[in-house]
Amino acid sequence: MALVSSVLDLIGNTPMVDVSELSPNPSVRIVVKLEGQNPGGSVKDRIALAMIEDAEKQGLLEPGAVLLEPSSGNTGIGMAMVARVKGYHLKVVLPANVSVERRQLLQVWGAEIIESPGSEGSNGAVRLAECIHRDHPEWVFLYQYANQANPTAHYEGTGPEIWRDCPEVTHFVAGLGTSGTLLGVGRFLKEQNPAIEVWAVEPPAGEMVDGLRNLDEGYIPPIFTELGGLDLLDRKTMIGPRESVEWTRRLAEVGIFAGISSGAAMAGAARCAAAIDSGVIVVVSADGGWKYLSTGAWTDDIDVVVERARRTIYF
Amino acid sequence: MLRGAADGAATVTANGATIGEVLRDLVRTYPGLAGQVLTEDGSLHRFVNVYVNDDDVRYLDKLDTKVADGDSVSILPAVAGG
Repeated sequence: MALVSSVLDLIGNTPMVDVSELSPNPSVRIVVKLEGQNPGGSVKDRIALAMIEDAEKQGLLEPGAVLLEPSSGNTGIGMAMVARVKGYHLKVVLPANVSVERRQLLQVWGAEIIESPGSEGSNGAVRLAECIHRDHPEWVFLYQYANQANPTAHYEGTGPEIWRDCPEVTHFVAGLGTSGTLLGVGRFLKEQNPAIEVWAVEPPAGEMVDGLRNLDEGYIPPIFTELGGLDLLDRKTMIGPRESVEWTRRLAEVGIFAGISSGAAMAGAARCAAAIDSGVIVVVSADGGWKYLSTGAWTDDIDVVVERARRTIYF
Repeated sequence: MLRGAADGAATVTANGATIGEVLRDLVRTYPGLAGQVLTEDGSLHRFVNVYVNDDDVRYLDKLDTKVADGDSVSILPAVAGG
């Protein structure tokens, strides 16, 4: 695919790299799928395109339509790129405590940023977007957490790509945000081989959700419940900021410049590798490192970086 | 978020051989946590994630998940990403 007519044709078909030298178990291979190679820089380009084209098919998008979406960054960035190409306007409800590069990229593609309180994390962005949507029903609310096109993009794209490029996969590890990647890829892979295990990695809901007043402000994406996430996942493990940064640096040692959530996913893969006798783990690197340069993740003192990561949303 | 109900403490000690026993012990010590962690029928609150040494117990043996002396149990709200 040397010449394409639109940047949107470059979404998907990402490469995979064997990083088994980082595996703590010599009998376990680890393969990373580099979603940062997407044109908008993250795995979210896939769902941005899928959700917008699905809405077009349903006739929900008039030319020049306004889209509203809660996002901690990457989905907003992907949608901003797709919206720019297709002539829509995007308003992103973004928690205040994301890296400066996430805001800058949204601005590159002309999205409007509506800030939600950083102390409420992504849950706060979802809640604010729901409020705004009630006041502005004319804005199209594709809502990644409840949109079937999100897991479907992975069921039809990411999953088959992994199966095509690495059919020997025994374990699939990815970060849990909307749960779209895990549900879509997980279901596809288990349909090919029911023995494949699906492991979710998530960051601790730490200081960044201190703004939540009670547990009823907790949040489970509707797609997770609707698609039986509880039964589909085999394991869910929490990876803290220190391990995430350490593994982000280890990835760089083998030449892979990836975001901090990729470090978390790799830490999860390493835990998985240590827990099994043998196998092949496919792990998703959701984005590249570019958006995190300002955090000093690779170069500053690790204690300082970890403290910064604690106060930042990187999933 | 749950600290308010636990007299402001971020880390507390509780006893039990399973997660269910540990959580019930915790609620006995801090009655303010009743209804926050476990529901009235004794099951885990929908928006609470409980981890033993960083593994979510919903994918282990749920409230029957065994805990050993010195294990670390985390109780956190369910949060989104993306």
